[in-house]
Amino acid sequence: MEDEVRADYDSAWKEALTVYFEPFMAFCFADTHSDIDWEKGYETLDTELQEVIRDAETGRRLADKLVKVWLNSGEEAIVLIHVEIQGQEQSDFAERMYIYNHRLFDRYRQKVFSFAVLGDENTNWRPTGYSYSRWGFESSLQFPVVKLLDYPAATLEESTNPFATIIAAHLETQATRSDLPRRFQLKLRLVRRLYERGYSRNQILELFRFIEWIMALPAAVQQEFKTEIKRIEEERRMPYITSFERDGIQQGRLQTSREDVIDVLETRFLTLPDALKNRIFAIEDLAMLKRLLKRAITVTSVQEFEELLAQGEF
Amino acid sequence: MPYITSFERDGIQQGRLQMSRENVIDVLETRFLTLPDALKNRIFAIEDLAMLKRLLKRAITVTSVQEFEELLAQGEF
Repeated sequence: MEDEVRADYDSAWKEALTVYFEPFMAFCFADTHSDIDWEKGYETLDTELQEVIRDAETGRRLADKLVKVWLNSGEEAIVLIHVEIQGQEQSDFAERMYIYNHRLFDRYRQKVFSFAVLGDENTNWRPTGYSYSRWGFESSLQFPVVKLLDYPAATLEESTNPFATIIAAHLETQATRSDLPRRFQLKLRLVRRLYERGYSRNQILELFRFIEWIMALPAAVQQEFKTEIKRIEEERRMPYITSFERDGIQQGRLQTSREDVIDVLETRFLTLPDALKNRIFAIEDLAMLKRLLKRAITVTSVQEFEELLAQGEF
Repeated sequence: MPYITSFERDGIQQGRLQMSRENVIDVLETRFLTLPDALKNRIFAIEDLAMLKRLLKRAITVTSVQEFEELLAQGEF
């Protein structure tokens, strides 16, 4: 359970950095953000980073992010964000940053800029670099750092930057590890603020997904949370989050319809060609699947069914 | 987007249940034309997806509505 929650945490961070990379830089590394030409877009290099991490054999670093950006000066730059979430790998964190930085430099023969995001709970742990020297030789790496604990709750609350919400969710989850009733209250407050912020429907849905992802609640409390959300949305006449349920119902109906057509055919004819299964799994039209189910009971062979489908009989 | 919220998860479950029940009834009605309301209500009350899957398969193979009702009454599923 602990592992599952942790893994989820890492993936939530990774996804948040992907979706909100620009707001993240604006919020956490404002000076760097203003040097980057965001009009030109940016390129995430996840696969490349995975290769380097595998080679480095220093444990998994799920949430790290490698991005190519273009600066206002026209130059390209490679930015590597290291995220330390729960403090489990603190001892060699700076050394690992040093290794990755050099490996990536070697790979790209291009300047690589490393940044650290410290999401742990130890206020005293603040690595800023890694170096060694002897005989007049010196090799060193220094990197900019943000410590999430340093952000005052009020700053996070007032900011309209979506990443402030991600950080708030992170800190509030940490602070309520042994006080789930309080997490329930904070989560509700965070979601309520989304409506008050004037975010668009899509922004609310996107941020809500992250809040759900990060601020996990036990099933019974989550049920209570859902009821509250429904009440809030009715009150505000903003049926956004509740639309997730409708989407889910539609998805569930589609999935089951496809499976049932296949199940009926397999029950009757034992095996089906994969091509036919794939064809059925690609159907998005519920009414058509209903008609197919009825034909699946009455056709006399798989071939007959395939022909009907090919003729667009449904 | 990889993460599925509990809202969607519950919705998916609801949608799957609804459809599974409807399909069992549809198959029986396609084969035997009419079904007693009591049987329909009984099917609509089932909350177990795996059971509904098994019922669907039996719905294709039974030879009468009565046979299906008997299987259900005997708790064969």
